[in-house]
Amino acid sequence: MLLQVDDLRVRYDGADEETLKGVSLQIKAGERLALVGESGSGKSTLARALLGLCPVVGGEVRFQGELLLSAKQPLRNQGYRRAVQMIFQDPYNSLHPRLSVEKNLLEPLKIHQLYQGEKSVEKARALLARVGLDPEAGSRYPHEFSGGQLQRIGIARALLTEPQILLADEPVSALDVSVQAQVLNLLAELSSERRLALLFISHDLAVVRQLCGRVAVMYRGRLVESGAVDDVCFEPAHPYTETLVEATLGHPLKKVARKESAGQGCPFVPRCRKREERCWQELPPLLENTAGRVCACHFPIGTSDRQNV
Amino acid sequence: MPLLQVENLQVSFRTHNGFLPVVRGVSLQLHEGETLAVVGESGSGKSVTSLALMGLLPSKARVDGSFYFQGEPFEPPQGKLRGHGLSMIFQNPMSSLNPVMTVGKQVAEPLLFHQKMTVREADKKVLELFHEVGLPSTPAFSQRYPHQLSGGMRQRVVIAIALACAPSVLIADEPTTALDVTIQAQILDLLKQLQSHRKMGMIMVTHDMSVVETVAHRVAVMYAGQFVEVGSCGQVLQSPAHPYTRALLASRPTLTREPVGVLKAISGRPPSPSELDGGCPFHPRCSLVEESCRKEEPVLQEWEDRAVRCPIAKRGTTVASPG
Ligand SMILES: Nc1ncnc2c1ncn2[C@@H]1O[C@H](COP(=O)(O)OP(=O)(O)OP(=O)(O)O)[C@@H](O)[C@H]1O
Ligand SMILES: Nc1ncnc2c1ncn2[C@@H]1O[C@H](COP(=O)(O)OP(=O)(O)OP(=O)(O)O)[C@@H](O)[C@H]1O
Ligand code: SF4
Ligand SMILES: [Mg+2]
Ligand SMILES: [Mg+2]
Repeated sequence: MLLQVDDLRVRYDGADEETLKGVSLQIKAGERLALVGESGSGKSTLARALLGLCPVVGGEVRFQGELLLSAKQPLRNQGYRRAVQMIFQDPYNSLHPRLSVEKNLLEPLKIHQLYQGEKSVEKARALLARVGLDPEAGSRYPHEFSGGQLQRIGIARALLTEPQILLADEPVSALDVSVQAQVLNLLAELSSERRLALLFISHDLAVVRQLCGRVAVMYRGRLVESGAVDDVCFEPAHPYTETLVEATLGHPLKKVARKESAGQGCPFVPRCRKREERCWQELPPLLENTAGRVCACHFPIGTSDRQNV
Repeated sequence: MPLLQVENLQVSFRTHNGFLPVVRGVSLQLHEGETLAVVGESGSGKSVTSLALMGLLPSKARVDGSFYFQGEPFEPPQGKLRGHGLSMIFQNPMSSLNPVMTVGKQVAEPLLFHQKMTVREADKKVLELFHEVGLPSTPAFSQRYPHQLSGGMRQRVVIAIALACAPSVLIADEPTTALDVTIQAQILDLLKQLQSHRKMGMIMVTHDMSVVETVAHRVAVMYAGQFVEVGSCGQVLQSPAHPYTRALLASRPTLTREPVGVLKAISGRPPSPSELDGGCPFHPRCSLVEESCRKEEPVLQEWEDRAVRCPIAKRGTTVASPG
C-alpha cells in the first residue's frame, strides 16, 4: 500500500470539535481515488493533513508501510516529501507573487534538489504547453493571469517534480469544460504512464467518474460511503450520496422537513429522507455491506427503494 | 429601457511589448430581473469584463467604451453605483474578504453603511443571510475569520456580503465553483428568488453549463476577448451555432453509464493577445475553417434570434443539427 490512513483525527486550535473525526482510507500506487462531499466536510483538511499542515490529534498515516505521521510524530520523512505534491484549492495564494511563473515552477525542483538546469527549464515549458498555456506565460507574473490559468500553472508545478502521489484539491473547478477535458486527459495519461497515484478532491461526480476508479464521500468530518465509482454513482447506498447524484442529474431535490438534532445521532439526520427514530440517537458505524463497498447508515438504500437514479 | 448597457468595451494591459488587447469590443444589455450568463474559454476576458464594469481594473489597464445605468451614462469607478447599484462577487473570494476582520462584521458593514440599519438589526440580518446561504447561523460562526473557513464557506460569505448590499445589478464571477451540488442548488434558488422579488439583474460568469441552464435567460459565449455567440439559453445550449460553442459543449463530461473514454478536448490553445493575426481568432482550432477565415476577422451578425461571429456557420444550414 502506498498510503494508508487510519482513523485520522484533526482538531484546529480553539475549535470546539474535531474537524476530521476518524477517517481511514488507502491508496495503492497508480490508483486514483476521488474524495467528494459537502462543502466544509473536511476534504481540504484531509489533504493538508497528509502534508503535515494540520494539527493531527489522533490516528496515523503510513507511507509504503512505514509510519509517517501521527499525533505524536510530526511529518519528517524526506522521501515522502519528495514523493508527494499538492495542487491547492486556492490558486491565487499558492504561487509566489513576486516570482515569474517559470521561477515558481522551478522552485519545488530546487527545494528537493532535483533541478537540472536547462533540462528542467525545458520540461517546465513543455508542461505549461500541455496545460494549454502559451510559451510566453513563463516570463509573466501570477497576478497577470486569469483564475483558470493560475489553476493550470499550479497543476504544471505539481507535476514537474514527477511525484508518486498527487493531492489535487479541486484542480479543475475553475476551468471551462474544454480546458477541463484537456487537463483530465493529461492527468489520466500521466497517472497510467508513471503510476502516479491521485487523491482527487472534486464536487463534480461526472468529472470524478471520468478520472477515478474509486470514490469516497465525506460528510461533517467522516466518510459516509465509499466504493467503485460506478457503484456509488449509480447505486448510492447512503442518502447523502443519493442527494448528490440526484442534484448532479438535475433532478429536483425531495423536500425533507429540516429538524435540528441534538448531535449524538447520524450527522445527516436533519436532511435525510430515510431517517427513523434510531437515527436521532445512534451514530451509524461505517460498515462493509458488499465487497469493497462501505456505508455509514442505519437504513442504507437497497434495490427496492432506489429512486430514479 | 435596459438596466445596464455596455457599448463596445475595450480593455488592454500595458506590457513591455506595448498594450495587449484582452477585451475587444464587448457590448451587452441587461434588463430588470434578467440573468445573462457569460461562459467561455479560460482566459478569454470574462473576469476582466466584469472588473471593468465595476471600475476595479489596475491602473495599467486601458479601458474604453460607453456604460449606461438605467439609461444614464456613467464612468465605472463611481461610488454611487457600487453598493446599491452594482455589486460583484469576485472569482477569488479571498481578494474581497478582509483577513483580519470577522466574517460577521464583514457582512454587517454594507447593512450599516448602505442600508443604514442599527447594529442590532444588522446582527440579526447577518444571521438570516448566513442561513440563506447555508452557513451556520450562529453568533459563534460570525466570530470566525476567513482563514478558518473552507473554500466553499468563504465563497458563501462573499455571496452574503453581495446580497447584503441589495444591489440592482449583481455581477457574479464563478460564485458556485467550490460548492457541492446540493448547496449550489440552494444558492441558485436563492438568487432566482431575489431576482423575482427585487427585479435584480444578474451577470453570471460560469463554466458550469448546468448552472447556465438553471439560472440564465440569455447566454453569451466568449472567446479571445469577444462574444462569439449570444442568444437565449435554450437555443444556444441545444443548437449551438458557432464552432467554438459546439466544441465547448461537446467536451462536457456527463453522468451516464456509458463507458468512460477520452474526453473530446479542443486541440491547441487560444491565441494570446500578441498572436492575433487579423483573422478569426478561432481559425487555428476550427473544424469549419476556410481560406477567408484566416484573412478577415468575422463580425457579430444578428441571425434569426441570436448573434453569431462566424459567417461560415451562418451560411450553413447546420443550426438544427449540432455536430
Ligand atoms: N485554519 C482553520 N482553523 C479553524 N477551522 C478551520 C480551519 N480551516 C478549516 N477549518 C474548518 O474545518 C472545516 C473543514 O474545512 P475544509 O476546508 O477541510 O472543508 P472542505 O471539505 O475542503 O470544504 P470545501 O468544499 O468548501 O472546500 C470547516 O468547518 C472549516 O471552517
Ligand atoms: N493584470 C493583468 N495584467 C496583464 N494581463 C492580464 C491581467 N489580468 C488578466 N490578464 C489577462 O487577460 C486575459 C483575460 O483574463 P480574465 O481574467 O478576464 O479571464 P477569464 O475569462 O475570467 O478566465 P478564467 O475563466 O480562467 O477565470 C488573460 O489572458 C489574462 O492573462
Ligand atoms: S442513518 Fe438514518 S439519518 Fe443517517 S443517513 Fe441513514 S437513514 Fe438517514
Ligand atoms: Mg476545500
Ligand atoms: Mg475569470
